[in-house]
Amino acid sequence: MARKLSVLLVEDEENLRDTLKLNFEMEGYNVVPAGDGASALNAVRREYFDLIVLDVMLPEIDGISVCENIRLFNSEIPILILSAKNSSSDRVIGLQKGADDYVTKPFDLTELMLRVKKLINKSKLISSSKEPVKEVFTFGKNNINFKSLECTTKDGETVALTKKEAMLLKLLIENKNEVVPREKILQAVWGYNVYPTTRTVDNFILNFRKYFEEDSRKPKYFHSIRGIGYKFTEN
Amino acid sequence: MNPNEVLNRKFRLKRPQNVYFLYWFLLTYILGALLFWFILLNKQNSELSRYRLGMIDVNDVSHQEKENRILRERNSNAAEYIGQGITFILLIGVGGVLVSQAISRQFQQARQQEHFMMAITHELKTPIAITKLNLETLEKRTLNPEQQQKLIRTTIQEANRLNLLCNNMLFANQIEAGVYRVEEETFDLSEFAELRASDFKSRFPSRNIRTDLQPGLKVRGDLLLLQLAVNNLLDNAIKYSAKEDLVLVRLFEAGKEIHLQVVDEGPGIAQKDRERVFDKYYRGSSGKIKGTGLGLYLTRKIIQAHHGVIKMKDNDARGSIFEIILKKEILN
Repeated sequence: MARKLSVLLVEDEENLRDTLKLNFEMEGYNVVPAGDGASALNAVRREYFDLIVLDVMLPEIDGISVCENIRLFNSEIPILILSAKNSSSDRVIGLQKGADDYVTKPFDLTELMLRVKKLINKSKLISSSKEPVKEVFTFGKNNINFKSLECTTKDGETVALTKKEAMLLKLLIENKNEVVPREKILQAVWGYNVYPTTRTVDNFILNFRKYFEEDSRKPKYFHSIRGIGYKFTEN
Repeated sequence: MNPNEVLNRKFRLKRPQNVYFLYWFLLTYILGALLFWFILLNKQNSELSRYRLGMIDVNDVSHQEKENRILRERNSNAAEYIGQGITFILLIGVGGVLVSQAISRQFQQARQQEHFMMAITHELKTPIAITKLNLETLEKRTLNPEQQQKLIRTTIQEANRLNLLCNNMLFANQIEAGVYRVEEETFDLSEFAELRASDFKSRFPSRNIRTDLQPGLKVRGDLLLLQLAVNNLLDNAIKYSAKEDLVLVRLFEAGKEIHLQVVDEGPGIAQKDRERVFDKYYRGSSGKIKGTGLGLYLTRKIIQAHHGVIKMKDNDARGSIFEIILKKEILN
């Protein structure tokens, strides 16, 4: 069965949050509710979400700051702002600070559900529109065969790859020259929706460097970006 | 210029800096002009007396006397100019301060009004949004009886919230226009408090609302107004404390006074905000408190109209106590 799409619902009005949660659940979403900005930010750091529904007037940290903050470390997750503030300048600020859509209260239930669905579909489409990696990928002296799950290392040895190793290589190569966040790796390769604080990904990268880098202390291909994730570059 | 810009420009609050600049410029100009005229008049006075002195015939027997008279006149003229000048400066100074205060007050009021309109937008739209969503959900989904009950109950809660907001706004308008007439009657405050608490209990069944009421305490007052006051206090207690926190309504007699307390276990009120919580439109210094800033302002007005006192103090455990002190009705 396909994984349920998960939505982070940030709303401090309890009655609104409860009924929205009920509606999302009836449409087959998995909903994580949050009543303030701080718990919303914690949830985003801890878990994978397909979409965030975000209120603006929240206690302590307001929705606009939450949105800005999320965009510092996650530029992909679709954010829909749901707010009672309805002037054009409010909408502009919301969209400028990184929201993908802005719906004002009171809203139409059917329209909101449609917008949510469309936003998620669009973001899935964008992330899958990357050029697919060919069966055999060569960089430097190295060679990876994704079909036979084998690679030829810098020393000319042939090493068998595990399924997870191949998936991680594919993900990094698909996004070459771009930083892939650790959360995305854990979600795409390990299927974690809740991010554990393990060194699993680091250990995999260390192995890759052993296989493919001339000098694993000065990596040419597999770079760690501190606090964010990893990047593959061809040269 | 597009129509939107024209419309917005007409209603937008002009930046106070421009007005202040104009005001200070005008004030300085007036003072400068005053000084200029004073110097000019004084100079003219001296020149005139010098001319008149020159006209005196030194062979005249009374020339000394004439000279003295001219000098005396000159000095008295100078004293008059100085006196008038000082009076002018004082008047302008007092006027200046009064005008400056009035301008500041105007701007502050306009700013508060603007914030109030923003707050009202949120306070009105949220219950409307919830009501609409609940009704749409009831219409579109197949729900079990328990879910239906919950949606209906929260819709009623939101309708009550709108009602309280409307009452507050209408009453604020009426007292500002001076048209509200207090209708006094003697009634049992203990029964009244019990009724208020049970109303909130039925509206918020998941909340922990308790009462500790001394029975048979009678007061004289406007039932509708006191209801609005107590509803505001209870509404705040519910709004600003967590779901599991206790909200307590306490009523007791102390001497000739009756004390009605609404106790909550919320985050409490910051020291710097305490003085101002009863001010109109005030919603805390952090700017993050929701609401219209009308509730506590009206509550105090209502209590004052009943010759009573409203106080705010810390709850022993955590949170705040809002206490209304009214005179006991002594029945003959």
